[in-house]
Amino acid sequence: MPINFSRCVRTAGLVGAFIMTPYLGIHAGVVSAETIKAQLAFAPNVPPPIKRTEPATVLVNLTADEWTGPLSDDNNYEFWGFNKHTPGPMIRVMVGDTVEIRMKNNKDSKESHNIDFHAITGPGGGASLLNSEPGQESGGRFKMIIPGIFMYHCATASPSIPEHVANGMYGTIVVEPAGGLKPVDKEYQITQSEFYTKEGAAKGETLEFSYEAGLDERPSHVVYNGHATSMVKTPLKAKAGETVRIFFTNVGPNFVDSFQLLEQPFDRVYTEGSLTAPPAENVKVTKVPTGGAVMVEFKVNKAGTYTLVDPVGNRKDLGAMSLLKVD
Amino acid sequence: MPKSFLHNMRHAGVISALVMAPCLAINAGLASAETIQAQLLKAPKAPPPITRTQPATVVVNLEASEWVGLISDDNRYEFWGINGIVPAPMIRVMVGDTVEVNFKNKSDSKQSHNLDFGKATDGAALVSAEPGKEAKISFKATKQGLFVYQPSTAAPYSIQHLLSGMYGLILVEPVGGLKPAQQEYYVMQSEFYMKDGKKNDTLPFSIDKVKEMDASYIVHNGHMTALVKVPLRCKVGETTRWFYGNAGVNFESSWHVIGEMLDRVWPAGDMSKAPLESIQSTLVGTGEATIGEFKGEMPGTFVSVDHSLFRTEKGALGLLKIDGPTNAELFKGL
Repeated sequence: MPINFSRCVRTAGLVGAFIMTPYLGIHAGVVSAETIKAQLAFAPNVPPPIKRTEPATVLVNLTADEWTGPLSDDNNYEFWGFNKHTPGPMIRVMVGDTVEIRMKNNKDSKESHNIDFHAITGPGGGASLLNSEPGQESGGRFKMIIPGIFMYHCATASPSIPEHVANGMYGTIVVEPAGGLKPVDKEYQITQSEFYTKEGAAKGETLEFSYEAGLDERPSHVVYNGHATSMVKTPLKAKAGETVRIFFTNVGPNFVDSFQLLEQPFDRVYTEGSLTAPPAENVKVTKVPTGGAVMVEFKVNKAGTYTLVDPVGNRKDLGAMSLLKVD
Repeated sequence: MPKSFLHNMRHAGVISALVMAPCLAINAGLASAETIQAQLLKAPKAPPPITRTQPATVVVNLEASEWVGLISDDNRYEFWGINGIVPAPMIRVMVGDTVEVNFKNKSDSKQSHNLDFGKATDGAALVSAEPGKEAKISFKATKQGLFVYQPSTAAPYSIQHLLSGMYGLILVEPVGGLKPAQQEYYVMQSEFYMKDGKKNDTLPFSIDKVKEMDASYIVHNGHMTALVKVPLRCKVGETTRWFYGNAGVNFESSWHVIGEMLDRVWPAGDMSKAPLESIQSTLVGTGEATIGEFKGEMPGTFVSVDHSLFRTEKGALGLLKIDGPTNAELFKGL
């Protein structure tokens, strides 16, 4: 910016300040919107809180991949996902930011993939611009005008939109409100999602997607952060007296979630992911729509193991559970 | 009102204000209780906003009938509905109105039919008629909000009645009405449960599928592609207000508009409370309705869905076409 500014002034010569003013304004605008690379984080971790107070242009690089990986202790699944993770990386920006997204579809992919960001205002939530054939790249630039916790997901119509979601193509983008979020001691993300697989697979086999089970809304797995037991085997951690914040996304693709902490109520619940309305307080259960999110905060006073769960029916047994170990 | 008030005051003489107060209220009420005919339109049209400021008697003429019609391009179903449309017409009144429902059951109906407006008033408001008969009910709209009216769940075969198309929304506006919005839409999600069959078959109702929660169709406005073939429309910059109901009976709807955010949501349509703001998806329970608003920011085709995405394969979606200039600052390809 100083160079541009100086050059402008040097070449301006006799051009009066009257004429120059608007040009300077435009230059200043373009240059001052700082361009930064997004810090992406994989569940259950989250990117650091935003410290800057001015909007920036944030660069986000995502890849669409298809790979085989563990869905439970017993079976693998052929995942489709972003940046080779299910859920994909969390993105954290602030309202007023311009997000520049580049989406590269792995050359080994069999399907074309795209991204619908619930945080993007415009056709398809960006999917119309962020569609990539295998080996291709696409991109778009989007202004974040509304704060909140938002899901992003693939919405390619072939073979069907729900199939792309059911296979693991989703993640969360947090758009902080002006002034940011209040600091807390620990921040985590949890994404709940269902998997629909064909029955009769033996231990060790790679499970196959079942479109019929999806239509019937009969999942074989309802999991936290892409694996049936990972959040039980590797609990979240906090210390007694700390306040914990969880960004919780319910991907579905079918079930409405009844999110709760078994041992105590949530202190604050930002219902349906709204960060501009005052939170509900002292909440035992919060329902999270599919394709929806919520932000919860709670202080853990005592040491012990806490349980975050969707207890509806047998979902807990299918994997919808996370432990939190408090020392 | 100022005139009557002065007139009354002059004649009041020594009568104390304590005694007068209720009389004044009654006088005001009687003088202004005009009788008006409800405008009943086919979804996605909502009745026009209320401009009057005084309660009225609103006459609503509803006729139950049974007919075979298309549920999708492939199959027919024997609908049981109101005024020949599914969903039934939306009724729009304000708090304090007296609603007079003239309920007729068409002579060639096989079933007795009934409707319950209890959610909009204090207690049950049930009207019932045998085939070829008429009945009348009058109730006061005491509760503000957006409610589903439907067959009484206490009556026999109520589930089949409800699941065959007999439901609609009644909006009870607060006194003073709602803020103007440029566009208003009436959308209802509902489930249909049928025995399996071939293309072009008329498929019969299946109670077994209801119990198994195995819906054949989950549609917006009575047909699998009703709002796909004829999209909703608005212009960039316009505020759209959606009266979104969920007839159920099994599935909660996670209402979402792809490519837009719900700027404001009033759960249960209760506009006396502060709305939820900036919502991506909002939960609408079975038998519930919600009011959502957003401003169209970008041109293009937007998709209103139940974000339980497998249900979109059964019809739980509709299109909104927004016309107008693009905004490259907001949305631009690289």
